[in-house]
Amino acid sequence: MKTQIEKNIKQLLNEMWKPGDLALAWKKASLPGHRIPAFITQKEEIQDIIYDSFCDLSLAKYVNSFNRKEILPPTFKGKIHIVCKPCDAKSVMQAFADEQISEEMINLIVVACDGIIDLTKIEKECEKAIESYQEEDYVIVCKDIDGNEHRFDKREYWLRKCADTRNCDFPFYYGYYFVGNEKEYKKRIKHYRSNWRTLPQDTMSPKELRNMIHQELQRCIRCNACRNICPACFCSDQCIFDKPKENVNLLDIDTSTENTILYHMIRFHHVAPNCTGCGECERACPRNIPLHIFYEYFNRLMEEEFGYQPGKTNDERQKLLSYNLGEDLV
Amino acid sequence: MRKRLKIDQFKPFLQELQKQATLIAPVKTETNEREFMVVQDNTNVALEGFNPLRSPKEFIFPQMEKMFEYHIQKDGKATIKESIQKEPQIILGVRPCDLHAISYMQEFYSSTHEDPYILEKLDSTVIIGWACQDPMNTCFCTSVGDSPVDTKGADIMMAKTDQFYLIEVLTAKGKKVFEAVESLLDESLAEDDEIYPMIRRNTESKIREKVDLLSVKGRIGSVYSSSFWKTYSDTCIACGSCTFNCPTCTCFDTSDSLDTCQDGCRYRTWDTCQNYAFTLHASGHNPRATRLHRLRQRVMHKFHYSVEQLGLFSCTGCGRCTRSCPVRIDMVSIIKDIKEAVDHGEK
Repeated sequence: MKTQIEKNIKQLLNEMWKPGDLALAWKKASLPGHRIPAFITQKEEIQDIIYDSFCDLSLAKYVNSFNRKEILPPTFKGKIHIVCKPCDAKSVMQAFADEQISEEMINLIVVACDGIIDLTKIEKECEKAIESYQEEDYVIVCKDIDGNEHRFDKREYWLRKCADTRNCDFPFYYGYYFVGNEKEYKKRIKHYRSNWRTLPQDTMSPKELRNMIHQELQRCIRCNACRNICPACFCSDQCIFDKPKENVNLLDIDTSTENTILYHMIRFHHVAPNCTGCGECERACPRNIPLHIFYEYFNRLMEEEFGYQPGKTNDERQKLLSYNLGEDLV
Repeated sequence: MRKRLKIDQFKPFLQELQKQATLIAPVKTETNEREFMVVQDNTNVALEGFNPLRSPKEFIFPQMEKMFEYHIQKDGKATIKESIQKEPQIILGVRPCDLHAISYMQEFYSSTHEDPYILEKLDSTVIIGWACQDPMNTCFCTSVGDSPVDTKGADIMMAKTDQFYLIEVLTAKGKKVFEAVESLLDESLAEDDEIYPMIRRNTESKIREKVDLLSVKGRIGSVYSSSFWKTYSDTCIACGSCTFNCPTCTCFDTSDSLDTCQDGCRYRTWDTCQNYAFTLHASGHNPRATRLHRLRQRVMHKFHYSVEQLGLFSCTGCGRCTRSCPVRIDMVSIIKDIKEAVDHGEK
């Protein structure tokens, strides 16, 4: 199944390829289990593409950088083919809605994702450096450096976004290519959104919630990995936390608990109208702060209050930036 | 001087250390991580396993540190009260990569300008090294000329075998601590000579790759305008995760706080060269405006500028940058490209 998807991606790209195009997909890195972004500018490089359960990076992040022409090669004059999991496709969709990139530039290829493995969880379990990973139907087999073999049930080692929050639902959009069986995929994810699993916050008293926030967020080292990996964060180098040109010194790189909580609180609120719940913040965090559940909490509030899911369509205005006349909440 | 510590004497050993000074060691946390922390309950100390992602740098050069308080008197003059901390502390379980980082910091902060905050703290800290037996697949200490059993920077060195811990004193500062725990120790035998070489062989065989960077040391400046930088900077998202987890990154920024002290006080916090505002001039010009500039600066500083300044690499091969990178930029492949570019350029 996996190899079939990979084959189909390559075939599709080969068919669509025109000189001057750019394709964005995953490729193997030198470390076992690591998949890194591949910026493909030559047709021959398409064969390096890989797709499996280890492709955890969201390539949607780079859409914003294309707009600033930072990483476009000089030869580029055509379209950008971007390979996405459905959760990442929503981030691309939100970039369209936020007018971060023109739709004509992007050719969206969505793959039928089957859940992505959390590498750090596996590494922690093995307690030894891992030499190789192998993927079988429902099992991940890893060999550690001493030659021991470990077998893991894939479904127990999914990223949190795949196991718990499951934002796999698909954007309403006309112009994408789907790799895999679309009907079957939609049937599979149909129940996900309607059967939300409760978040830890849902059952907590305000005091417990406060304690949890303190306990988790005080580990933050303000490295800004969560901000910079976030596809919804497109201010790039002009972020208020960076002391930009106007010398607005809102928040120093200060790691007292009050300040880290303030930093994250600002981010939770600021990103809420365009956070699609892709979970990249949590994956990127070097301190293993479960950021995804915090953002998800705000996401659900957004949906309850406004009936609005970021990334659902390519043209809806952000709800906190717009209003309708006669609206109750205004 | 070298002695043995029986495995079952480890806890009394820790207790004795705790009596001497504040003990810092890798501790198992509630979330099942291992982190360098002040030891409260010594049953949680876990020296074996992967090197913690946060290095012990935190206890020498804290991420946020109060430098001084100032008071403004009636006549308009200000008095300054420095807050240099020098409480005795013992850091246990520091691996050779982090030992090198600490000795680099000592060198760096006493070279062109003496930094009393760090030097005083280093003075009052006893560092107990730990021969590394659990390399990760991100480790590359052999590439930068270190080894898993190097003792440079340690006051006392420890290694674990199946039956005992081998404890070796290296400095006068270490000797004081050693004397306090000496009653728990047994005599060392001549066969113990073999332990360090054996651990070294064992661990080095597990390290993924060795790139011989020492052979190009001092000549790396020539790769400044190589084309490979772009392949990495394209994917780089310019967060500061690599620098904030790096044991040798020494940059900081200062800021004044008016509400936590009576009149005011100055703090310093870590800063990162990956940040756009790091080199932003008041005129609005930024010499390192793109991600390529910033990524190259970080790598070139580790492998070339610090060689020019202090004669040593400021990378110790701990692999924390690779471990923490959200987009998986692998330092080993960067240094491979560097080596190749230097070798190729000279042909």
